[in-house]
Amino acid sequence: MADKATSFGKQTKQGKSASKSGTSPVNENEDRKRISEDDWLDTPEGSTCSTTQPDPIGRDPGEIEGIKEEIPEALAYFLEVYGRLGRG
Amino acid sequence: MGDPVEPVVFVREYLTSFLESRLVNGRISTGEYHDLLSALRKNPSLTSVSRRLFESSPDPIDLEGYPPLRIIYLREPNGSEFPFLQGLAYRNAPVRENFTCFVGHRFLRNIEKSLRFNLVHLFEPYGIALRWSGYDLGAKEVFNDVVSGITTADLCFFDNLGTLNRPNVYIEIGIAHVLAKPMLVSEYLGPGSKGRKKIPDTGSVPSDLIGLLRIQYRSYEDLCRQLYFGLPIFLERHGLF
Repeated sequence: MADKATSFGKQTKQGKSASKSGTSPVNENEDRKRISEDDWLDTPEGSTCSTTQPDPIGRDPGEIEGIKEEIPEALAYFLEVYGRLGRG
Repeated sequence: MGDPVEPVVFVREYLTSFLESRLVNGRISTGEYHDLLSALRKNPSLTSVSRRLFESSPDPIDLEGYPPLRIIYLREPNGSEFPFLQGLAYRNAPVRENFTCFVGHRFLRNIEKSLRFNLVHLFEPYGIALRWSGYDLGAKEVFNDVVSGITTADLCFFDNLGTLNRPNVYIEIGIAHVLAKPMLVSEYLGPGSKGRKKIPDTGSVPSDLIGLLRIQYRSYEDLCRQLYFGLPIFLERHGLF
């Protein structure tokens, strides 16, 4: 069973992982930024613009799949080991 | 209630013990261990998470993106309580297969009341039901029930606390050994520091049984942690997890 440390705590928030490949998350972030700027241009007059982009279906940031709280990696590993258990 | 320990101190020490257990069991490398330990000491969010855990106890807390976790209070033989950090399954996790663990220990009220309470909390998440020796029968039927209980069990747990001159638990260990049952044998070593009363009437595991998987402990808190950290590996090794 693969429960080594390598499979857990290296996870970071979406777009923060440091990839050296040509399709790195950094580029994806830049794409997102461009899109959001375009969206901002379409914002109806008088509305405010937030730097925090709302989720399209209205979820809080923490509810979006893949976004995790910033907790110690040791605790993340602990939860990974015991979260795999089923309900007794 | 247990010692009014500072929440973050308790959680950090608990996770450190967990990491050390994973290290010595070969589940993480020394590099990973020290990286995790270093990050654990520096992470500022641990203080607030730890405080929430103690304030919510026994209710679990939810950390976004992770399964829930909680602080519960387990029991020493003298009835005092100690905090215990428990990771829980995701709320939509399936119900696990049912296994049975035969449990043998000295029949003393304080041991029954504390050990059984603790073990239920540790084994239940694996879908393991506990069956006690002499569970519901009269004395003359106890031995047959013990043999039957061990024979039908998927694994066994034995504790030798208070068993000096009361060899029943060693007989049970022998039966389980012959039947090649996966077996955890916990051996009480006595207190590790001055000022703590030694619980009398406890022998040591016979020399011919040394070599079976033993958990040597100095308190039920010590035992519960070793069991909790070791169970995933033990059960995996025996195809029970």
